[in-house]
Amino acid sequence: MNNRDKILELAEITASNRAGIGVFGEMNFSLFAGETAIVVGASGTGKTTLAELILGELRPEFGSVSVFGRIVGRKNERNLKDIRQKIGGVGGIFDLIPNRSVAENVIYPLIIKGESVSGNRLRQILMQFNLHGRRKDKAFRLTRGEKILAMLARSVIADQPLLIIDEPLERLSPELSDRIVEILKRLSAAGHALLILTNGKTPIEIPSAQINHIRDGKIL
Amino acid sequence: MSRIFFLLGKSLGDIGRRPIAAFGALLSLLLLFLLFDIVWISSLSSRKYYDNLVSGIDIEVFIDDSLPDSSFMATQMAISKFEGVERVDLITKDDARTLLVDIMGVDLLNGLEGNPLPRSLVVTFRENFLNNRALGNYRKRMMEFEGVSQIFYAQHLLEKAENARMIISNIVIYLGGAILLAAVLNLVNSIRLSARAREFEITQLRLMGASRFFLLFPFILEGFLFSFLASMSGWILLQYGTDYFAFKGIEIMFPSIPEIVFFCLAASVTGIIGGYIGSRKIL
Repeated sequence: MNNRDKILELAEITASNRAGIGVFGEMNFSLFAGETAIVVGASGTGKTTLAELILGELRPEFGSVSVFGRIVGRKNERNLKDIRQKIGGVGGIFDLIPNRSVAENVIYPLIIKGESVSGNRLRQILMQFNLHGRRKDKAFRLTRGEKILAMLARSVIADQPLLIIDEPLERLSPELSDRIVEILKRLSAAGHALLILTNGKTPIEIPSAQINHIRDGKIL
Repeated sequence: MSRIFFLLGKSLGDIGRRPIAAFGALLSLLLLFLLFDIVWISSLSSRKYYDNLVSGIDIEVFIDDSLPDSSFMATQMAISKFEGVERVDLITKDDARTLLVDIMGVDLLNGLEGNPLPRSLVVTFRENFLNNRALGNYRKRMMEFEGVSQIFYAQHLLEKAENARMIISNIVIYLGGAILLAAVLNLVNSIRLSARAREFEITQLRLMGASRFFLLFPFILEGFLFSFLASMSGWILLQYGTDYFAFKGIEIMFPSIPEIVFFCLAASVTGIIGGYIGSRKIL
């Protein structure tokens, strides 16, 4: 994918969250391939709603959402499926499947796409994320930090060009936070587009990242 | 292909992960199918019983006294040539009187002038030849012969048996339909509970871009397996179970093997539909 390809574009969006409360009004936002955007907003300002709009889980009242050059809409299931397969998710609405093993959770995006993964590649990724020792454990046994790592590993193994990362550092120790930030920097350097949603309480410093704030229903 | 194997393994694993719920669903389906099988067998057996009853019937043709002996013999010959007729026995007036004495123990006609009992022909058919429809046709044809005054063949008994058979047939249709509906509803509810229990997992898979088929497959497979196993087990249980029961005078009739196979396949398709209906709302 060319670095100047616009992979995400939300135009003139007016949308409400699942509770029916209006959160965005004529909001515009875009992200290019390989770019990192940090969207800062207090709780309830619409960070999760933004993720849901991108994934087609919520539909805007007005405006259009385009991901990888395709309009997101519920009517075309195949379109939506293809878009979602290219998006990795960490935190927020994304989670691991609790009663599946860590290894199963990590390879799920590949199984869904009908691709196979070698045992070596899986081991390599799990070791890279310090999860190899826990590969057979059920996901519900993991700590929050380990879950974040497993979700990042899941995105890396599937080589997804866009990652939506919702509050990645919340309730994590400073050491683990530093580790996660390092991984995010590496992913950004490797050409993944990152959309990081945070309340701003724990600063996330990623070089060349654009910082946006949600204010008055707009992303500025 | 690997995805199909993964889905198969995952689906079977999901069933194995909740053995009590799976066993409960399977058992309730089995009982419903078993009930349907019993109703079906009852219908077939009652039909067979009725057919046996009809096929063992003799027709007695009473001949008017005014008919000359030559015509009487001609009628006997003509009837003996009917298809399926094994023999035609002649009962003379004297034979009739002897039979009456045998039945009553005394000669009720003693003292009467002459013998008022009619001559008759007793028509016996080949085994398993006669049925109610043929019986009606023969009655009509025999009545057309000259001098035939009355035809008797335990018509009232047959009518009662026919009514009983019709009632059983109606019960089979309505009860069978109700049982199958209950089986489908049972399956739909069981799959729906299973889907609800996996709602979180389904949401996550959907967010990862899983197709509708990928999400539906485990539930459809579950519906198929439960229905197929329950319907097959029902027939196997009955096949062996009936060895322990014997009903005097009633032969237990099973559907043919192709009919049983068709029923199990139909039940499996119903299971697939139930699996789809049970899970589609969650998706």
